[in-house]
Amino acid sequence: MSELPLQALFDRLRVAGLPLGIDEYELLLQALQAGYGFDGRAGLRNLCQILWTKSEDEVTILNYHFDAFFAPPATAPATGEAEEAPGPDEAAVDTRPAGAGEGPAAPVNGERERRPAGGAGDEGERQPTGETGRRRALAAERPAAQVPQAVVQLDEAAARATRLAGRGGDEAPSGRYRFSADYLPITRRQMKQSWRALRRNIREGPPVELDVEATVRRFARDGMLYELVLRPRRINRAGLVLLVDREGSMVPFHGLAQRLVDTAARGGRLGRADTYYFQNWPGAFLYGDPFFNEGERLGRVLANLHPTQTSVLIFSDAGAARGRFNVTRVQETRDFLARLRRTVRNVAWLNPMPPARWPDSSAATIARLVPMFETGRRGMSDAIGVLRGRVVPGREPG
Amino acid sequence: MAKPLIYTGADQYQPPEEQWEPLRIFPYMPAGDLRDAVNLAIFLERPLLIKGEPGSGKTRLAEAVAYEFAQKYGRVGPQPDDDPEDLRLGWPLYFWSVKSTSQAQDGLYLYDAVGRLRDVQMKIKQPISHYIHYGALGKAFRRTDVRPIVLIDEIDKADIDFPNDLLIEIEDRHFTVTEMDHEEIEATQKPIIFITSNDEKALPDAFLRRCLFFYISFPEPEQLQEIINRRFPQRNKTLVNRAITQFLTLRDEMVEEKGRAGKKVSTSELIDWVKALHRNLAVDGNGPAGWEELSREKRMALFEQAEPDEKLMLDQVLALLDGELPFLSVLLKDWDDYEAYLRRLEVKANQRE
Repeated sequence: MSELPLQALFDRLRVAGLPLGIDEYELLLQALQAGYGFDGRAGLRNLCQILWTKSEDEVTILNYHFDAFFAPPATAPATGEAEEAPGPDEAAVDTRPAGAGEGPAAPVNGERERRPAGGAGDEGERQPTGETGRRRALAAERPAAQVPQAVVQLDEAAARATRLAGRGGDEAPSGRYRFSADYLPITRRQMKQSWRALRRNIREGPPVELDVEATVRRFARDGMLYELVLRPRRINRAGLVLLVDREGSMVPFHGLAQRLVDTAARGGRLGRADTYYFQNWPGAFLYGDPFFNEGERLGRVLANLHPTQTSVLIFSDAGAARGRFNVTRVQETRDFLARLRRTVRNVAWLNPMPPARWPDSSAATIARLVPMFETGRRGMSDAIGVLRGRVVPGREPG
Repeated sequence: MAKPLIYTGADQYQPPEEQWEPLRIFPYMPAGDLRDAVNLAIFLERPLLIKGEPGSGKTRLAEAVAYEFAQKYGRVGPQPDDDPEDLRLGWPLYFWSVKSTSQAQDGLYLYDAVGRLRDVQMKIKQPISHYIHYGALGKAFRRTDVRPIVLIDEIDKADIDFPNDLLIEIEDRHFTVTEMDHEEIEATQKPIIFITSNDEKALPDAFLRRCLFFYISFPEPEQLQEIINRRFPQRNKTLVNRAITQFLTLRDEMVEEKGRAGKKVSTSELIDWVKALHRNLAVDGNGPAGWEELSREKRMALFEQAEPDEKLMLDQVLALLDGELPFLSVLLKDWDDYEAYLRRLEVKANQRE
């Protein structure tokens, strides 16, 4: 096994989800070789932050793992709890049956073993603390096979103790929990990119763009250029109507729906994007707001749609969330779709529930009436393909 | 390559006061870790992506580095493509302020096709390079004497594909000018690239991978004090300290109310505020006539619109710093913030009673 500096920390961060590759690791080596990161642990941590993180959230993750990784030396000088901290730790080691490691600690053994060689930056700091010495001595008493494990468990326990002890400070809580909005199956960015595919470019408006070809043609014909030929700019006239199911079984998907609405309205570069809400199935009225206050007659909504430029995307679980078959739902939806298709050619359905949950519910039947896709990156681009007029294999065009 | 460039932020390289206004350069106090980040970016030849609250000095950093390099390594003269503005600080700093309509091509070069067409008509003969106008990256890549600094400001304002379009140019540091018989422009001096972002749009992963990242956090109170003292060396210390205390209280309240993500008062707003407070501070005299008889509202109004001959004395200004702050419009830019502030004032007043 080669001994690379900080490799264990690097691996640990990769497991934690930071997008790190060999390139990032090489950056660290280059920086270390040039003498960066040698001014104590804070300096090393700062170096890792600069090289390996790309957002505040990632900084939080890195700090957490970095502190856990270098925890033992921190207990002694920093918190002044050197006397108390080792107590429970040692007890933990002594009472543990030999070889029966705790689940989470066991897999990192191999990496932890290499750690002393790795801590290039903090070696100086670590040596003088009597505590580490004691630990090592303690470890040395154990049979060889168990040494790494004991060290690991000590470290883990100490790290835990440090974190608990540090709770009183104002940094601790912010590092403990991290709120991430990106657990959804499709990111904001991916949504925007998908919307971009929905295009119907038409030259419209005042002539402002130079038409090079026509200008050259006129130049060639007249032998002299008297006037530039201008033409209108291309603009995206693709209109979109989003129909969003709210409340009831859709409550868990409100966040996802909101993201769809936001990205379509802003950043999607659509000619026009309107959103209407409904509950369970779209009926004679659609609502302009998610709280069902501004009702509008379906006929009026449909009258405003452009038959070829507008497409309709429905976001609803179609009954798949509860998994029941509801005859009324299917019939109402069928009637609605029939009415919709008299005005608009391209209609698609995004279902937040995975296809595995569709069978035996209304969703399976409705999926036969309209191209239905799962809400994910793939599903969304397929749905937009349908909105652009692509024919779904094995299905009649709408 | 010549000797390595190192940014220190040290005192001897800070601009003296007489240069502040004419050069639009002010003292910049980087935190130690920010300094390291800059030096790493220079050494590893990677762009440095800087995020932070608005007003935390993201844009100012590039200027501070350029100024220090000019002081330390000697001033550099312009090259044929340069505008005077690029050499304002004595070291090439190419500023690219990204707009929502910006395209990656704008940063490399623009070809003036219409200008050429016009000249051909008029039988004016010019070499084709006459119609090529280089952008910030283009100028930086063509520079041959020193490593120039490029600032791509607020990259998140542009379209979501903008950063991806720049990837190759930033990584390989070369591009082709199609109109000039596909001439290759390759950087001989590796530019030092700073990129700022306000997090309005997420940046693509492929782009992030190539950058180093630094988040400028709000300065510690001591650091804030240092920044203000540097910026206002001749100002009244008592007033400055009181202003900082009030400012920090206001900020803490806002953090508590809005959480980490909301817009809070920033360093740059504090600087403006301290400036405003001092504008109407008299060095000697008694202050406006009949001050004692005025109500608080009248005093406040008088202070905020003081004529040159009715400036306030230090005590009078300090008294106004209790309760509703003067020049609030400098600090609070949002009606909701203002309302929340008044509500807190009321609560505090009630508690006192």
